[in-house]
Amino acid sequence: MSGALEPFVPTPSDPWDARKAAHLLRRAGFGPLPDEVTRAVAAGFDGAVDALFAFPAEPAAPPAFEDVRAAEQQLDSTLDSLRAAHEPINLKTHPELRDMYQQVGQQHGRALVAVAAWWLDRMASGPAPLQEKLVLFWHGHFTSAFADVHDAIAMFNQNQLFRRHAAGNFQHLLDGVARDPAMLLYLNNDENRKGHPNENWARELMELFTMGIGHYTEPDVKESARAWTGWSLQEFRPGDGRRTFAFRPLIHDDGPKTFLGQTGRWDGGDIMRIILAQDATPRFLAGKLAAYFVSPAPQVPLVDAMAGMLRANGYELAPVLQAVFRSRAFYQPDVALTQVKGPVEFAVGAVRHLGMTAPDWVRVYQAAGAMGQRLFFPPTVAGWHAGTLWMNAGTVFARADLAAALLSGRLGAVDDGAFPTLDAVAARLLARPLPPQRRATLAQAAGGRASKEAVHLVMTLPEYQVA
Amino acid sequence: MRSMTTRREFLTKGLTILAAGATAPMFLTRTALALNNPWDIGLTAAAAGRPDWPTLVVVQMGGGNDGLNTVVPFVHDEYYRARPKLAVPQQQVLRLTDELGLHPALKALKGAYDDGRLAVVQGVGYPNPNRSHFRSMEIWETADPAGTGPKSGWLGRLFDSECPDCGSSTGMTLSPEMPLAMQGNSPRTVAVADIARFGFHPVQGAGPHEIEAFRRLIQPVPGEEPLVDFLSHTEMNALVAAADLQKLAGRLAQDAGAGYPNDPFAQKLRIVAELIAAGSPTRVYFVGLGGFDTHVTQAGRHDRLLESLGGGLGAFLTDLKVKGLQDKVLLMTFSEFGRRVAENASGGTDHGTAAPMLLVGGQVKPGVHGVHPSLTDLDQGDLKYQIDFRSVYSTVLEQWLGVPSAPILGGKFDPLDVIKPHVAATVGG
Repeated sequence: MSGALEPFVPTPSDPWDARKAAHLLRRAGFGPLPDEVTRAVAAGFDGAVDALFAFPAEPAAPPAFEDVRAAEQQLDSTLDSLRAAHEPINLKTHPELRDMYQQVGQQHGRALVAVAAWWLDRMASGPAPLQEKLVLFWHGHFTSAFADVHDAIAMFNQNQLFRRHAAGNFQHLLDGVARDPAMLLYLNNDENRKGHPNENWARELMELFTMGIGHYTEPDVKESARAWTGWSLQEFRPGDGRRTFAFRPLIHDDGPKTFLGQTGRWDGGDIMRIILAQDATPRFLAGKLAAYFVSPAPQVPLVDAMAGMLRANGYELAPVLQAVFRSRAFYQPDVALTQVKGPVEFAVGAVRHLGMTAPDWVRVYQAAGAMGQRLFFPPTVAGWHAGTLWMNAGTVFARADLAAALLSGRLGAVDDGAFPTLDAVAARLLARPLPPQRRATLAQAAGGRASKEAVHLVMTLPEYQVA
Repeated sequence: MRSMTTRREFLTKGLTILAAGATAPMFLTRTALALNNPWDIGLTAAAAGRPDWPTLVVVQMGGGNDGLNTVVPFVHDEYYRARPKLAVPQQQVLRLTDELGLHPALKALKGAYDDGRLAVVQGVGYPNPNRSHFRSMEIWETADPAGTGPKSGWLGRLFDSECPDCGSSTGMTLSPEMPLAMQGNSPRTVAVADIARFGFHPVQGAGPHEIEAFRRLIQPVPGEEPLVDFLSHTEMNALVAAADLQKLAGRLAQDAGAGYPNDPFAQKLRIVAELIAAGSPTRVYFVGLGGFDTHVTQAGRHDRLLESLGGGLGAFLTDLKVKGLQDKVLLMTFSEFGRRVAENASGGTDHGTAAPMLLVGGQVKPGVHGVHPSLTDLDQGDLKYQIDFRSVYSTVLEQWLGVPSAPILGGKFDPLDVIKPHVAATVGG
């Protein structure tokens, strides 16, 4: 392979070294530690890249859903008995229902926070940081918000879907998302019915999830929405567990549609097939992956080369990601230090850098929200505005506040042994040596010691915010 | 001139400590631009208590406020037929006109109406209404119903186009998260969750000298990577914004207790009033009041929400009057949609479309503007909008803030006649 994805070949004059390994681990994970960098160097270039892709078997659900299910079952059985007695289901005549509905809502809220904590812990100490970094990517790409979905278990199931296909096949992932209950609720395709089309999913599918704006027309959106009618959820029946995907032929519009120049009695599956065959789709996806893993404004030849690989490999994701991580271009100076760490990446990396093994993840989750990234609550369907938009006066201080809270030990034990000297602090936390002026200022402020104040100052430096 | 002093202090301290050759802080390099830009309050600030610029306060009623039970069409039988349980009884309505009146929980706003400080704009919405909270909120906040423009907020674009060199607290939201409406291309807005805590806090065990160390450490270094350089400037600007707010916070404490209700919404408005009075460089404030998604048992809930709204706005108006600020401040409410005309089977209302917007302040043209949407000619059970919300935005932009609206709103929307003409600013270009 040549061109933008030409592989890096280590040589004695340009070896696979700690600087390159740390860059790889930063981009493919969360705040690498010195011993992890050392191991990646020792593994050799190919071995280090391959190790990133060793994803584990699907993890079990966190033990957060029992209370949700209990509250739902109590409500469902009460509703069942009211129905059996032919009583109207009415909050005025049955005020006890209100408490039960509230219980269900509260339990979902608690479970969601527990899922967020569980996920943050997987990012920090799970077996496959790259897998979790991809789950985070897909969460910002195929957005769904708990505030609209109101179902922590559905949000968790979507999170597992992202994990299952994290570096798998984009076609399969897309197909899973189109049938995902949280997405069906979030973008209202459950309400998309023949004669009353809801265009929400049909529009965002093209605009945000696959092709990008400018490659389709308004009539394409309308025709696509017709094709997606009937891709819905099972009718709700109490005691029947979660509503799963159901194709409902009675509300499906099976008339002919003309979509992106092709006419037929299209269904949602046909729409996905047609979208995936467009040139715009692999380019759009490649552009987003390159912006996430490489540079915020990636070079056009790189995006073209990645799009070509996606097309050639039937949308397999691992080959193109491996090619990026193996490319010479990935290790060039114009790529290093071009990413602003997102709030979650900052928070998880900070926990790791401080050697904390069991922090109060709920507090960390809330802190990341104060920094502008509350997991499961993307601000809009377009996800989070990344890059320099993460940083404003409020979020600068929110980052400093989390660093101070972690260092205080209130959120869990900090490994003080990780910071023997000021230079060890800088080496552990920063992607590059401190400029001499900053090194001198820091040494003066901290009295030359690796105090908590010195660590805090390093974590608030501009260079600690970048990856 | 207090903000300028802060900056001068910062520069003096910062630059004397810096080695020669350091790059100039962002606000120094932009001074020349700012001299010709009336928007850059940070460098042209007036004395405390007498801001020389119009301030906008945007109140978001999150969840979809029931417009029909806020401004009640009490002479229409269709309203009472559609809402056998939820309709506000005619005798309880606080009458504004022969046709319309306020919900009884909005007593304070009735007072404002009688004093000539409330304008109601009826039937505000947009074509092809979307009934998803997030999508409709996105539409209101981006001012882009087609969803074809940039995913930035209309206020963010206001700052981008009118104030490319403004300081980092030109817009302020009193919440931890920046609303989409305020998001633009570069950070000129600040999210302040807790004004007393806003700033750099030393780690446990370190003293205030850590702040000084932080100030020195983040000075830009020559030859820096562009991103690290950008972050240095962002962090320095954050310190300036915090210093500004800290000085204001000192004045806030002396100026508390103007009879605001003790709820979070009213207390946020209290802080806004005090910041304005203290001469804050902020031009646009954003305050949220949530919980309007009243699908079930709306009756008590909506009453309490409107009490909160009316109580907060009433205290805010009184406070502004006491402070002599009522002609400098315009407050505008919005919600992502109104609610269905007919109540539902659960004693609530479902997502609807058009709803009234409230404009409050000493310089509004008081009254009820526009025509109430028909209660019989409905679109899928929902009101048909009469006025595009972007016309309200263009009114606020052109006649209150004095800036051209077309570049911000992506087109020309005719302003309404709801701002007193002698304050309506002339717009060049």
